Amino acid sequence: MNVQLSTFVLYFVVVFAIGWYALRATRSEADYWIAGGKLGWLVGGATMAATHTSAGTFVGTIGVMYVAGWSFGWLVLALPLAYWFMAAVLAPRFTRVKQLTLPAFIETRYYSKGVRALAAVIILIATVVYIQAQIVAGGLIANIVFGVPVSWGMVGFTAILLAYTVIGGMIAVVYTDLLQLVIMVLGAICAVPLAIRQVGGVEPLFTYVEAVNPLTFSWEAMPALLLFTMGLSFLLGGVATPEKLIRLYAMRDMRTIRRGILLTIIAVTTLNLLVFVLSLAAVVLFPNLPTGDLAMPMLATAVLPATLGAILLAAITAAMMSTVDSLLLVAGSALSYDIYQGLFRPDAPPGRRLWVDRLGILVVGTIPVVLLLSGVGEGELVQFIVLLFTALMASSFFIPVVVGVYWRRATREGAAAAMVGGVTTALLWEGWGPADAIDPVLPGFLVSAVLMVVVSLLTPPPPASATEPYMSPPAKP
Amino acid sequence: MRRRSRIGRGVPGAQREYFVRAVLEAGFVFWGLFLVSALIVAAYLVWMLREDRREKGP
Repeated sequence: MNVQLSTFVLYFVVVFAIGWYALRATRSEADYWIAGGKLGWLVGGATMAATHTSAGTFVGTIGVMYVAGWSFGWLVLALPLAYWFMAAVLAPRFTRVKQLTLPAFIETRYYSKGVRALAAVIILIATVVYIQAQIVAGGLIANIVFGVPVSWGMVGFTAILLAYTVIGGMIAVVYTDLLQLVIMVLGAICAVPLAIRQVGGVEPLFTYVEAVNPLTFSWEAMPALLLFTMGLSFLLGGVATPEKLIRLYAMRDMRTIRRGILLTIIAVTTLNLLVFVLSLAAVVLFPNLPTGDLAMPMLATAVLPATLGAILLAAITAAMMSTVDSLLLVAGSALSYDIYQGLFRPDAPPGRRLWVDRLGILVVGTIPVVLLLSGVGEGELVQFIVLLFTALMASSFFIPVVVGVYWRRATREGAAAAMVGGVTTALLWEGWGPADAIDPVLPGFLVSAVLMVVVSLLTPPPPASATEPYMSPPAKP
Repeated sequence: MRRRSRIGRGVPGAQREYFVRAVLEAGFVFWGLFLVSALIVAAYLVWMLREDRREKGP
């Protein structure tokens, strides 16, 4: 058995073992969706960072870096600011009432099952598209490592992901995320010095990159307004994506959240910076690839020694898997917990609810791969889809979530208008607007904010029972 | 003795100026990002410790 194959087999065996442990540890729906809300800072911060770091980071960045140059790298600064905002501004109020899903928070704060269902539908549709992008990256890796067709690779990765996510829920996801973060950091740290050496050192790296694309280290490669609005997308999307918000509920208390987010900030920033340097090396080594998405797997197989290449490939796989398992949980909970059980069977017995939850994940995990095999959603750069997903989530949920915990007057009608208006504007902008000059998050966010304020003021104020838990200071013990 | 950069050596006039400018710009754009990231992490750490102390009370 070659090094790559044995590395992957070992990796998958450990992942399945964690899934089996999680099955035995899961006793309630709270365990299944938020790991019982008892995570410590190490696992909590690691799962947040691993969920954030997707195939978009490892596979997609190279494509964008090639086109946009190093100026794109400065967007990474939006990430620590987003997480800081989350820890300092949002989490202290958002976590006062623990929920199992983001739509459940929406129902509690906006006193409406209809608004909850709306949030669940938006999450479900956007997440399926995002999972598709990640699975394509998985198929490419399987093609390189195992030599199987990309479509087989997509089916295989989906099956592995579903196996441990369906049986183990959030407990399986957070512990596999910890393992996957360690692999990602290890892979990137090992690969950077070797890739730089392959190019001839840091100074030749600068020179060669500039020879390939003279604008790489200037601010001219990307329009300033587009760069700024993409940074805004990272900032707002970093706060308002459901798979991250739910991790605030999964951590024990505010002290744990602050420490966990410190770990997240360090891990995410370091990983991004390392991947940026790898991307520069890949630009020099493979200037003429048909798609930038192939560059990182090529770096792992053609440039690095076998063992390190295997670790880098495992890191890319880990990035993809740690994001998709979290999205499967979010989409599965939207379908089974928020739509089916929230609307149709709120009185189902606990034992049955857990099995419906598992079925929900199985269904939403199967849809993306079936769509891909039918030829729907192929051919887009991975990072492009990641950016679109972030813009859609930010346009839909940032305003209802943040305004919801700070403004008593925000009503259910305002929240519904903000979600629908935000996501629709972002989609229309992406399809027909000047999206190559201004990221869709800016118009989406502005429309969402205006609609929230105007519609809330035009409709009857919310009952105190909905707002007080978030507005009143917590009672001293 | 300080080692001189190899970039731009043996390249005359305007070309050398271009190379020097490019390297300076690369240095600023490239290493500046690492520096600012480290500063943000340090600032967060200070904020976190202050919040912990505030929460604990006198």
